[in-house]
Amino acid sequence: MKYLTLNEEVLLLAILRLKGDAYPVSIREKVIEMTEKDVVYGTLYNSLDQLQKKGYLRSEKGDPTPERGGKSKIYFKLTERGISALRNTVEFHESIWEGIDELSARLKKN
Amino acid sequence: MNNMGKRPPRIAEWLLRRMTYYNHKFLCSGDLSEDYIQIMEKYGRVNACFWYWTQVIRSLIPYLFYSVNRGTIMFKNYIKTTFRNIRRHKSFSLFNILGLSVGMASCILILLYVRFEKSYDSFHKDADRIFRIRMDRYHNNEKVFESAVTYPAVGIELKNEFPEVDEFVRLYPHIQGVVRYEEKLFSENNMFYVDSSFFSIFSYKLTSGDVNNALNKPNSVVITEEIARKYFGDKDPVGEILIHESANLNLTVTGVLENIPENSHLDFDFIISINTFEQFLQPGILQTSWGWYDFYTYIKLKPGADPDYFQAKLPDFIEKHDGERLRARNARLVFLLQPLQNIHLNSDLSWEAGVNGNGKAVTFLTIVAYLILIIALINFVNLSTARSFEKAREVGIRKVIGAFKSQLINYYIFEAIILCVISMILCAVLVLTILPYLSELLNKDISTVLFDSVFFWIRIFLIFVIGMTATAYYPSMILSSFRPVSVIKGLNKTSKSGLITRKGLLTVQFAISIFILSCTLIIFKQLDYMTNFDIGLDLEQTMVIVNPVDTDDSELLNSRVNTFKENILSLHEVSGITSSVGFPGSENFWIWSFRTEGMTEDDRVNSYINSIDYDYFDIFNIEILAGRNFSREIITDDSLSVIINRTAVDVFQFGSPGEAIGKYITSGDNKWRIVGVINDYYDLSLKNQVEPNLFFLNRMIPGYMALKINIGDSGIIDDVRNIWDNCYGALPFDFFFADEHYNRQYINEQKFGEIFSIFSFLTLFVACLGILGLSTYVIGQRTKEIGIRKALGSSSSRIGLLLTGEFTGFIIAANILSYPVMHIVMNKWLQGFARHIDPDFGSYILSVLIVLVLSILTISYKTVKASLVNPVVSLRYE
Repeated sequence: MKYLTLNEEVLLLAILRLKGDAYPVSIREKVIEMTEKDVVYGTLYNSLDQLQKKGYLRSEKGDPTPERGGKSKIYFKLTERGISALRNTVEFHESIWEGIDELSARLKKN
Repeated sequence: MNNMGKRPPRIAEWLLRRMTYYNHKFLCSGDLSEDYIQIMEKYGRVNACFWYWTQVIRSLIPYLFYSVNRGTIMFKNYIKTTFRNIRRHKSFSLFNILGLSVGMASCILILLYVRFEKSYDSFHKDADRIFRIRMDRYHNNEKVFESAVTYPAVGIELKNEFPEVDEFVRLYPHIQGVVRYEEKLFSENNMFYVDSSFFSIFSYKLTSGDVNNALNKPNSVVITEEIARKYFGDKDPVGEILIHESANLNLTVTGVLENIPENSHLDFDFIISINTFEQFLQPGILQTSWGWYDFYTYIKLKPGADPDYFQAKLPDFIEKHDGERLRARNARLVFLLQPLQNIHLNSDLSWEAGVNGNGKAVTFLTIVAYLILIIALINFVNLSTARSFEKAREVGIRKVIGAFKSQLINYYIFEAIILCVISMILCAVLVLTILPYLSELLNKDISTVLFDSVFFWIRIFLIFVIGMTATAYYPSMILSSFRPVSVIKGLNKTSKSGLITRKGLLTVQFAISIFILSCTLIIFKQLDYMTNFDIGLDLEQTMVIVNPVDTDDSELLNSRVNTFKENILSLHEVSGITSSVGFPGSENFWIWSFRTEGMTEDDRVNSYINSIDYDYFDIFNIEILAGRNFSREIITDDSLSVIINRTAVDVFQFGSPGEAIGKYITSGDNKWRIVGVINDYYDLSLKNQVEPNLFFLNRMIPGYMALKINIGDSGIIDDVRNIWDNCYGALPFDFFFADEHYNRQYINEQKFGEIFSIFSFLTLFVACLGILGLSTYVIGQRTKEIGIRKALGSSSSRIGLLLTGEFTGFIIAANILSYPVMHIVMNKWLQGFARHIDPDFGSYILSVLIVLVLSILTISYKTVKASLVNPVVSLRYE
């Protein structure tokens, strides 16, 4: 079983949070909002491309809009595989953090 | 705000499109422009532009990562399939690689040789500022000579009068002499008397001694390392005394030279300070003489001086010093500057300091080098496209699976590049292994220029890369254009125009091969013509001994020669002996001006002179046209008689040989009666015209003694040596054989011929590989036709003939192309010889036949195979 990397996790979660409205512009905004770091479109496209190849995402074309110079938005949605991958990752996180409340409490204190 | 204003910066947009062409076509720039507009509305246009640009530029890095990653995956696949293909088609790959590497190696080797020839004298520090003075003399507006030597005063006056002349040096060739150190005696013939400025003009290096003062004092000599070892062994020669027996000089060694680089047009063993020589001359003659031209004069111009501008001043200079005298004689003198580095290849004057190279041959070889490269590249195209036939299926499958045309082109170009790289490696190996052999063959160490210039290799590399890319592109275009459906069905007929292109290329290839081959044949024919030409004298079975001049006592010298002559005749193997000053095959430095009684002093004619004995014409079997030979009975012969050659009869305008007898020839106060006229013979090679020549009896100390012997007798040389030792004591016994000596004049032509034959063989080899490739292709295309023909009852031999016939067609077409070119080029080369053959049709036909036979043999390798196949097999083939 493969686990997602942090970047992939962030990207997938961002798309999940955006529900139906996930296209590169909104995804980028969301990611910036979540991570508080700037993301370049080039990187974003690459990652989206990779995720799509891995089968976690699928894309569909929306209607063309005038503010995009007549180009249609491309919406991204999580596939079943994507959702199960996220779930796996969450479970994995939980399993490796299990029983280390003490540490997390100490970390919080600091 | 209008719509146009909302467009993001165009260049950035274009850049983005380029980047995303392969991977993100579907996402493209829509997202960015959406953000762009938002930002523009909030913060204004400039900010938005800036933002857009940063986005684009920052996207470059991830894009590069992405594409490199993707590229390596394809790359791995390319390498894998390429090597698989090479393995699977072993013979094809071998032909391809072999043809290309042999072609490239030949090209590089020739270019290296050319480079070596062009590198002469480039090792001198200011080579581009050094010039030799060439002197042309005209009489009655007719050129009398072009001379490499000039008057001794010229150098001095040039330096005095022209500020742009930095320095000058004169070299006086000292032909021969016997040199002794303690008990060691050798005959030397490579000496110059030179000015002390020698080392400030030329950059020959001294291993010991002081460069600045080595040649200042009289009786100083500088020798080469080789000579130092010969006389002194391991001892330090500086300060030792060498005795020059011929001139009776005690020479102090003041320096040792590193051996003269091979690419130096001057070659010498000893250089002696010119003031040593001056002691024997009438005082001041070296500073003022405008009559005695025996001095090689080199000048070095100041940096920045324009040689053309300087040369333009020389006519006035001549006018000032010699104008009156020249006009009185109706003569004209021209000084020309020869750039030092041009002397080796482009100077063929009288009295050159050594055998020079042939610039024409070098240009010719350069052309051949590129022709061979072209052949090799054409070969590569032909073989690669021929293979496309076998590869058609692969292409079809790749296309069906979804390869783009551009991907296929990339792949096949890549495959071609891999083949090229392998060939290049093989080519490097070939060059390095062959180079020592070539150096040996040419007697020149070419490897010295191997790594002396990066630019040479960059140039070669660029030529190869450009050539190979061009050639790789064509087959890959052909391949990628196959249509998948028809290919998989087996219908892989390519376009007719494609085949015509390939046949055209093959025709060019054959035209080149025939051209080079016929040139080779003609070169050899000319060589053969020259070596077997009746030069008018018989040099066979003739042993020549160099007469050592070890004293200035002429009586002693003469008596010694006479004793030797008398004694040698006691040997029964020796049928005759003669002594002379000049010898056929050696350049004669004795030239003098004479007139007849009918001529005025101003009409004097230059003529070579030779001093001989009674037996000279008999020994060399020279025909006497009129009059008689010198006779022992007629006592006046030794001072009052002269024998002239046929050309001299014409030059002195006597009319016929018979009319010349009894006439007088005058020089100064001396007068000689013509007693005989001999037939012309070629004193020098056939490259030179026959010059007027006058023969006097025993006027000078002979330089050579020629013995007619029976060479078959092996003990003869020892016998002669014994007699020599009795007469000459320890003096060096140097001998050579006259015919070898004479033919050595053709050594450059001989080398040229050898090189040419090697490379014409290689060209043929590569061309045959080409025809093999094409025949495979054509036969492959016609497998079905052959099957049907056989099924209908045609015999194997008829089919073989049919297939062969087609190729013969364009070999003949190739002839039409190559014949005129060959004719023009060879005529040009042959014009360099005074006596030459005409580029004849016979050797041309012969070369055509050779090419034809070779190619038919090559083709039949495939055609026979194809025609023997059972028709069932060939018909089932699809």
